[in-house]
Amino acid sequence: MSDNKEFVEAFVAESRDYFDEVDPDLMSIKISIEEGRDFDVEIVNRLFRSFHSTKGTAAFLGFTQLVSLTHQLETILDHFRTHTLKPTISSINLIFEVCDFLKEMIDIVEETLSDEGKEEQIIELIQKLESLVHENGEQEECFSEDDSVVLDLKLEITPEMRNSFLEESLDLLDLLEQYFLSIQSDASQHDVLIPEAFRSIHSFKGNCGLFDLKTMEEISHLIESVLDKARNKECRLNARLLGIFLEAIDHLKNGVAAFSEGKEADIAFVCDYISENLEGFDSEQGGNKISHSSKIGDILVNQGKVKPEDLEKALIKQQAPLGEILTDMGAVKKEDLDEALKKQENSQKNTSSEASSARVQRQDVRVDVSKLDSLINLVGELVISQIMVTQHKDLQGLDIPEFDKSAHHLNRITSDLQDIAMSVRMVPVSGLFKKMLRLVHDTAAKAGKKVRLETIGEDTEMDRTVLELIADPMVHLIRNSVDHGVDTAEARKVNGKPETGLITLEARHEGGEVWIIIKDDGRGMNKEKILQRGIERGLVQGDGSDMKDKDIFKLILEPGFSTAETITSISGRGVGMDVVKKNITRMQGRVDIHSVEGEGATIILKIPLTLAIIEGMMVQVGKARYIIPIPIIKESLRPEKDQLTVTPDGIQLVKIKGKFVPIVRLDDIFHIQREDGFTDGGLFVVVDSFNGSVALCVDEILGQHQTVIKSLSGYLGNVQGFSGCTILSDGEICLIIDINSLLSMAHTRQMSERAEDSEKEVQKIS
Amino acid sequence: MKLLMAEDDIVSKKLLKNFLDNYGKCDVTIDGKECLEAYVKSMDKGEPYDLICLDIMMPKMNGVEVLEQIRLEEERRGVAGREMVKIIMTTALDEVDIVMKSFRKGCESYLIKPILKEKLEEEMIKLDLLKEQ
Repeated sequence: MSDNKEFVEAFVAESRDYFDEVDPDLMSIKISIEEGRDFDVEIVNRLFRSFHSTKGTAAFLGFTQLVSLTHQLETILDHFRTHTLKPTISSINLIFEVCDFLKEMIDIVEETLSDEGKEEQIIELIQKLESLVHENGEQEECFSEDDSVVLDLKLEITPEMRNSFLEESLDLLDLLEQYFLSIQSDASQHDVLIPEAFRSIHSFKGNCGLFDLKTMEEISHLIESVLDKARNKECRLNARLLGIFLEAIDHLKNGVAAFSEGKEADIAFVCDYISENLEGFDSEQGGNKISHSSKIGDILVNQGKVKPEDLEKALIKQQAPLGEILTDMGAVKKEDLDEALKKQENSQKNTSSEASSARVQRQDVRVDVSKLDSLINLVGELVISQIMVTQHKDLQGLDIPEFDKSAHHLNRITSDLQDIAMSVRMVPVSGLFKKMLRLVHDTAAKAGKKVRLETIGEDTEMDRTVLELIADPMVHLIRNSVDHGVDTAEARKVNGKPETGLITLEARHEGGEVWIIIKDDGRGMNKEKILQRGIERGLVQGDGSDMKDKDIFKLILEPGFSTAETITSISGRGVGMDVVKKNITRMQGRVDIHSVEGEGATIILKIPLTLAIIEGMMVQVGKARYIIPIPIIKESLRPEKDQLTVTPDGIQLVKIKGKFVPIVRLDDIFHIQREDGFTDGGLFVVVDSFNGSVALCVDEILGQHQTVIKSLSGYLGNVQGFSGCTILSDGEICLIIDINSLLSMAHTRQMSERAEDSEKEVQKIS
Repeated sequence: MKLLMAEDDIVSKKLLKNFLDNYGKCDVTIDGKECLEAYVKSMDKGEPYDLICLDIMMPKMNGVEVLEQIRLEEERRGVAGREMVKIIMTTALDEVDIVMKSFRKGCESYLIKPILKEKLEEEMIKLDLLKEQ
């Protein structure tokens, strides 16, 4: 049954949905434990049902490993439900861990259509879960408070040093992962990448040594020595070896993560496993094909095909492949060996594919986004052609009531269709918000703070692409709020605030935009400090006394801007906010920041509902019409004569509120011919660009338009100055202005004109 | 053990009843509605069933609907967790949608016809209704 791909896909999608639901439920139980309340039985029932359904489906598809694990979870929850076992912080944490593992398993199932290859970990987790039940039987006095105290104490051992270690290690490991992947895919880069990888693993090893993490040190040492050989061209890195390395990196990450929680990960086996594999690797170069992904001897012993004593004897002789020796000794039949080898190959496949698999999140129906895009495109075309037909000029003046009736019907259907096509791309933000719940939980634990996340408006829908783009910025903002915004429990007490900090995450529709509001009740931002840093870094001219609060706070969005004195594991390097700004501007959005010192900060991301439609202002220049995106427009005005100036080198400026803004003449740039005697209307639309404000000179402003963006066809080549076009209701095409590329175009033209002028002058002189 | 089955097809009904009679008293209903009524009655009397076998293609109310209603009824009565009645779907349909839907609505197991005695027993062992011999 499990080779039925369709079933497995449905199972994978469904399980992911279940597990997405699980995190918040577990969190709420945890919170109730922390607050000493009784948990909500309904939540436990819901969790039970989720695991129960997963178990049922897994059983149907023959995923026995998943069944055994979910069964154990079910048992625990049933104990909670019937109050025969009291949930504690540590037991909830364990369930979190198991759920994370299950998510990994689901990824594996998706890749390989099988749930094998992780037996060891499953057994371990099952044992841990079982011990929860037994522990309870032996010592019922185990209260939840005790657990949390123990946890807190552990967290306080060496916070600062450890934090910087964590951040750096994870960065290094991520980097290594990338190096290994590029080494795998591109052999020509080896000379550059291998030394880089060597350096990274070397620093990681050093760090581990500093913190007395012997196992991790040993693992990195093993990798380092192979990389050293590879660097000196004494051996070659093949795909299998890189697979092992990637796997090792995963284990190291786990190790680091466990360390961050004050625990020690049980990764000693990795060490043996790797060194064994590396030995295998050395001999493999001598022609030995056997690898030791999961030990071959163990498989045979487990199957009862080999006696443990025989295995040991064989192990002593293990210069030649183990399997062959065993066959020679007559301890194992040839067929059995082949079977075991096949099994080993499989499990190896599983582990290596897991390391490199990209994790794809998905909702109910999987549709290629490009299909959706073309659907929306086609619907747009349909609407236009519908208008073209029903308002065809041949029909004008005719008395055709029956046709009008049909036309009206067509009208309605197309507009309904358009609405639906647009809504197909929309997904609720709830999924993203749920992930933030976990993020807050993790970062708060890392920072040693107590923080609660409240979410409002999870049902708010937004464009899928937009949602993906704001995921990263949100992670940065939330981390910032936890790390810098919310103050420590002690400080909060002093200020008369509740010990647990509160971060509110809200989504709502506001006009054509979605607002994501991230609010914390922490210490707020220090305006003076930000201003001072801004002046130091030359971002502010003068003393900044004329700046609005809002603009001062916006300084924190500048690249590399940080007022934090210490860089923690979570944030403080001033990198994150830059990403926020970049991503938000990329989708024509805005960031607003409010802050009251001592009361907290609020960050509002204002993002257009979809990338397919923009609010645009239609303007006319000569006979041509253009769309200017509304978000970049600052103001429109008809200047008085004395506001206009020309600099000695011929640049036209308009003085607006005491500032000079350069004028860009669309008619010059686009060579628009006017009818004789007609001069431009002298209207200016002031817009924001990367280089500050500019005033676009137009004849007339025709009004605001919901603009469906269509991209310009490839055969037009590289069109500068426009981001796309839209089709107006009369069938005419209207170009959408891309201000930044327009400016660079104007700039180059100016340069060439000036060069021409000077050339002419040179000619005149000669 | 108290069993309940819902099956409209005469041959399947006979066959399944034959199997189930080995394990305890088996009530037979011939459509979804009747099955649900029988279930509610048993709950009212305080003699709940241990196992319900549901066909999916049935007149009046299909198996998945019955399943859903039973789970709702249980929720109303505060029956949850391991105390919920075990439900096996027995059907010739093996379309992804229906299988997934059944599990989502909370069935324990899903058997595809033809139902074999061994297969049924295996499932019942898994559901802790039978001991392995």
